[in-house]
Amino acid sequence: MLILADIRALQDPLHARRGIGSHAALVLEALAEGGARIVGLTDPALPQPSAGVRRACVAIRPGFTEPEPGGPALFLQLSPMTHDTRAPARLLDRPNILPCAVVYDFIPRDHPARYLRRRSDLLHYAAAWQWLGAMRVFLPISASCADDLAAGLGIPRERIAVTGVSLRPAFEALLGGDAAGIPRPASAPGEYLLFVGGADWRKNVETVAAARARMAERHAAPATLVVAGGYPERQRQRIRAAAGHGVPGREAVLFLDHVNDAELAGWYRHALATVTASRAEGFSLPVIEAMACGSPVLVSDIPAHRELVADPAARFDPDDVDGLAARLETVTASAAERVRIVAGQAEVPRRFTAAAVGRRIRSAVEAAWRRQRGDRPAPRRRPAIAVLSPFPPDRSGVADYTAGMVEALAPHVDVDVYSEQPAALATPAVRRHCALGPAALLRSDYAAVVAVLGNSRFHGRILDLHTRHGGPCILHDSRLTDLYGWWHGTDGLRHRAEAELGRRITRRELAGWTDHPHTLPTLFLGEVVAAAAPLVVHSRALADSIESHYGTRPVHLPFCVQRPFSAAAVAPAARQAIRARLGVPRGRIVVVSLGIVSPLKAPEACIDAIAALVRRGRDVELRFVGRAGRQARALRARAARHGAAGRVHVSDEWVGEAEYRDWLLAADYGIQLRTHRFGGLSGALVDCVAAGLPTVANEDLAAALDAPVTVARVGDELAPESVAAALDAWIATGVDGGRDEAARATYTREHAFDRYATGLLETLGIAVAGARAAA
Amino acid sequence: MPRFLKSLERLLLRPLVHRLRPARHRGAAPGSADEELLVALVRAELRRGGAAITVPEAAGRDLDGLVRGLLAAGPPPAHGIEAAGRGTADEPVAGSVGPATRWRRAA
Repeated sequence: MLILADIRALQDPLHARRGIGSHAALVLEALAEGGARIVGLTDPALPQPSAGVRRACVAIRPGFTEPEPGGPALFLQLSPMTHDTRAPARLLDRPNILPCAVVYDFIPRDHPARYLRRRSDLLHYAAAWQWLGAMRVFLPISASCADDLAAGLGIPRERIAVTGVSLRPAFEALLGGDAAGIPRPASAPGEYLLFVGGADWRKNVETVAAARARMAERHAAPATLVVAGGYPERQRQRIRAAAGHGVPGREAVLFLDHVNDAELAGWYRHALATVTASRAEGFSLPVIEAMACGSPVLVSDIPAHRELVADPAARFDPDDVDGLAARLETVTASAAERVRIVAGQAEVPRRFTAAAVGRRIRSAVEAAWRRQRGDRPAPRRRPAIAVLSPFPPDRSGVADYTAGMVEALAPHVDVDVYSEQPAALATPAVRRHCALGPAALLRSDYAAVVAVLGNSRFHGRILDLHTRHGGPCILHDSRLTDLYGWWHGTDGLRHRAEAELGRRITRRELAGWTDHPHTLPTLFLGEVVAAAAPLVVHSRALADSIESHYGTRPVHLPFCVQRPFSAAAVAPAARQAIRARLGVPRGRIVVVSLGIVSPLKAPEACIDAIAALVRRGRDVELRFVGRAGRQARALRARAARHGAAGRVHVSDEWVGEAEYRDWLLAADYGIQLRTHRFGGLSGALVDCVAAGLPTVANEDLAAALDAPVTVARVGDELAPESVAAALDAWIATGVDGGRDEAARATYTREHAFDRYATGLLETLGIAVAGARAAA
Repeated sequence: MPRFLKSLERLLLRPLVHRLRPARHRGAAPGSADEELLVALVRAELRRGGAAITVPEAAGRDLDGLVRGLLAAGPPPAHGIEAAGRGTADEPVAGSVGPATRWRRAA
């Protein structure tokens, strides 16, 4: 049995060490002992769960996604009312997933004025209540909680299994008869009554204190009231004032601050009685703890207590001070009555050993699982996935890449694209274009929701959605500095850097990294990596960098050829025809550098290399095939200064697809350089390889793309003389020097989108069945 | 349904709208708890295949998109049993699921 467990309550310090956390941990352990494979689903923003929780799980994943989409699984909601209900929304209402909730109580619903005073708390609780309706199996901790489920939500009884809560080990160990030997606490004040609770209104220590005051009116030396639990000083003063007089040398009330379980057992054991006066409980651990220690227990007459204390004489109305005082009079005055109560309660805690509770949990879950499996199996549908990405006509390389990827995915799965592009390119490959927003991550019908991230302004909302919901992520860039800077501002970028580096960062440092990305000390990928399951990158070097920085190994899928060319298209005759159309002088050697011109692509080094070739007498020209914008003038001036005026062509305008392809095919050689490293990619270099264009690239970039022999590698310091030397060596070999048709064809085949799509679906755990009939 | 939830459903949309509009103008994300409850209610309606979901015009584009997106998924298939029909935000669904899941906007 595969169990997908929401373990946020075990990450959250507010719950992990309290009642919910200890019961949730027991549920996990019990199911793991029964042989279930438990995958812990986490919120990356919360602390990591304890080692014990990690041991119970075969894997811990960020976000709420299926590790085996479409396969049978049980979703275990360990704390349905406490954490953001949107996170697991996509796992619910799926035919293959059986949802099961552990339920503790509905106290906030019954007392909204006390527990749901803030509007946000009320709305959150109401949302959690609605989601309970999506659950198929319920594991309430008490029969009274089960009654609430049946009455409040109309849940059929056969879907409810009461489990109880287990004693902690220190108390369970006393069930063998060891309670008699528990030593009396050294600070115990003569005869005393014990109250174990906390400052919460519903624990109702006030009634106990008032009852003790009634006793004090009739006795010169009434028993001390010992109160265990954290109480602020002002409340302590009120309790002392309400509890009546003490005796010489002893106050009426003794507060215990921090006691461990062994000490608490002593306090239970030697008390005249333990009093639990709660106005509301889902279960009551102090009741069974006291019973395990052999203390007579008096409890308020509420449903959760009636299950544990059958004797009406041991129960009292939680608001009836006189009634409680009368019961306490009897119990404190009569040893025989205390013995009678203890004898009547002795067997109760045996129902709540870890083994007994674990058995009930396993039995309920396994029975539900068998019933589910016995039903007609869920029909297999053609899977659907959502892709959150820019999309053409967005002017983004990632948008183009996604368009190609979607075409290759479409034969296998339905694809919905979520983008901010209001007029996204219509293509049969996309089932539906949707406005980018959280809906994709809150629906139950996608086998996977893939966030596509790159280092540009198109990815701001995708970054937010990915880090909030987690799940599969395709990362196109080796750093996200520009994206963080654009989306979160300089301060946001600085905070991200400080979080990753663990130190203060100055604005000057930040500016230096922006101008010189190769000096970045971190990748700014921490939160993206933490939320990703799985993370897909296109460069082995980037996968290495991420593993060394963050300890997580991404999946490497080789970057695809986006503009495949046939052998005929790159043949000499076809290329000559294009050169003639473009007016390239006969004998002229054309070198291109493709893509939007940016300082990160070292255009100065390209110009200097061409200038060096001109000085050597080569009939060569350089074309930047991409908009240079404001840099155009400076680049032309540089060419003039180096004696290459008229041999360097810079465009002020956007270069369209047709012109881009023309120069890609017409050129003799290419230069594609990157100043930043970390295994960054270049779609333009892939275009050069796909077109068979011999190209000079720096080592980091070439390695990232597994570049073939048609790419000459120069050092990452980007020395112009090295670039010139590489080009000159090819020029010296004559026409078509450096071209290799076999290498081009092999690279194109191995980096095709259909191969990528198959790899991606496999990575997402989506079985690639037969292609769509219509495809 | 508990009384507090009934009143909550009745009260939900107006304060939701009023909270969201200024928030959007400030460039902030929609109120987290508002969105959380809205998602829960829409998904619960889809599950029930029941009553219509009406969100006022003034709820704004973010919630409009969210509800449309959720409705586009259609009702969930029953466990082990294919649902009779699947709806979209703009079209009624066929079979056992009524017009309830149709997107409607208040005047």
